[in-house]
Amino acid sequence: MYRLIHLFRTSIGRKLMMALTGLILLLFIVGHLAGNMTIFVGAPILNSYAHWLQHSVMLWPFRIVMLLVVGLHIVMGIELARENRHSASNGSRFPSWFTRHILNHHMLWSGLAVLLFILFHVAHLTLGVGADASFYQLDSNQMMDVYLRVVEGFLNPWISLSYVVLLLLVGLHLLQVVRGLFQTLGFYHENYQQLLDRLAWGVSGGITAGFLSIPVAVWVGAV
Amino acid sequence: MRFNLRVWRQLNQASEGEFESYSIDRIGADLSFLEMIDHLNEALIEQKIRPIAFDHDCREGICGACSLIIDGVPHGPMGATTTCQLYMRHFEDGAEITIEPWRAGPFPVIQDLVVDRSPFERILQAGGYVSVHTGEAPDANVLLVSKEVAERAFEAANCIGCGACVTACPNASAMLFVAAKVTHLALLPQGQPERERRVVKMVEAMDAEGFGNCSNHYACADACPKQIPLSLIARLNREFLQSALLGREFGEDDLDCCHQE
Repeated sequence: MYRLIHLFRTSIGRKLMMALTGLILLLFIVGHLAGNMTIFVGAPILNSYAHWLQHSVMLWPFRIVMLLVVGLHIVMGIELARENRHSASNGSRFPSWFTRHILNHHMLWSGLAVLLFILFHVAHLTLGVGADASFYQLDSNQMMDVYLRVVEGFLNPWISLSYVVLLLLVGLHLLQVVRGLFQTLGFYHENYQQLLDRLAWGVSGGITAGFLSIPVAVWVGAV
Repeated sequence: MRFNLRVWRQLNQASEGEFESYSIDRIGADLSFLEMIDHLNEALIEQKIRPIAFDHDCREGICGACSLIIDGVPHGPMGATTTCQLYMRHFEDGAEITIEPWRAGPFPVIQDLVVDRSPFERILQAGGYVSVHTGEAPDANVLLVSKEVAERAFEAANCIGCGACVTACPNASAMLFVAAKVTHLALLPQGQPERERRVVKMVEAMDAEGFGNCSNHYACADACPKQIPLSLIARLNREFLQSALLGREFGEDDLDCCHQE
């Protein structure tokens, strides 16, 4: 135990913690996407899937673990960014303002977008902030009509726009993840770099496209 | 050739620095960048102006003393070269050239273009050495090193410790420097006895000096005059995590407990 505490006091140890918590979050996103894809199978399937999740005994333990993981990832990320800003406080004045403040800290900014997205997403579909009575409507099987929530939500242009913009920023965050993850875990080999780059585009592009497909399907009336 | 120079002038660590402009004429195209500053300094001395302080030593690209951010790029726009090996023919006649010292929190400016790079020395003191029995010269070929491993180790040993990687990094991270030093010794048989404790001590020294964390921008390898490969940072992570998770000594207070004079 002392060894791990000691490890997470070092810079590389903290980066390990960022990488591992990030990996858990990435796996969550993939699982979440797989579950959401049931919307294309049909409303009863999505609703029974949501019903099963809502009534699982593991719901709250799972939520608490995810909150801890997200919290660690955020706290560690802010801590690392703070240290980096301190080290670079005397940085060259040559690059443009945009490069120095936005591009050079893109993981912090896109990470902030991810946080905004999570808050917005939970408020929109789980808590139903600002929603009317139809949010709690039951379907013909007496289960919560999540399908209706999704379709009605995405028919609102403001919700759709926020969803799409934030989702694209989440994709940008994920694009940087794969290569950095392998680098931080200590893997780098010339022969595999091209593969890893493709994997990065594949993972982030696939996840973004998957989640985008739902509002698009609502707009064109496919679901 | 003639040039308009914008040079960072700063009296000492405590004072505020600013850019001063100087014009210089009749510069030969085959003068090195540092020789061009020598000429400027001679002109300044004649005008009773304090000459520009800058670091230099071997002037043949192997010592790591010269520095300078030239037009925003460490060691100038040529790439894979040190400032002393940069020649005025690489610039356009009449060009305006901006010259800054290394910019990084752990490298404070001492004067003008000279920065304090002693954090690197302290990182090396923490672990960048091998302990050997002195005495008679060892027989040849006692320690066998394959050609491929020797080449890899040499690639890392090319690091001259100039600090361009730190100033190029938006986080002022010293990972590429430490990675080069750790890799160089970890690959060779002479480096094995201290391999585990070396990487831990050097990373801890790096953290203690206030260098930032690597966030995978890879600006360091682009700026490196010796083209130290980026892959070494992953190797440093691997060496460190292995020592930290599996090594016998990690977490003990004093890794030098057994060392006696």
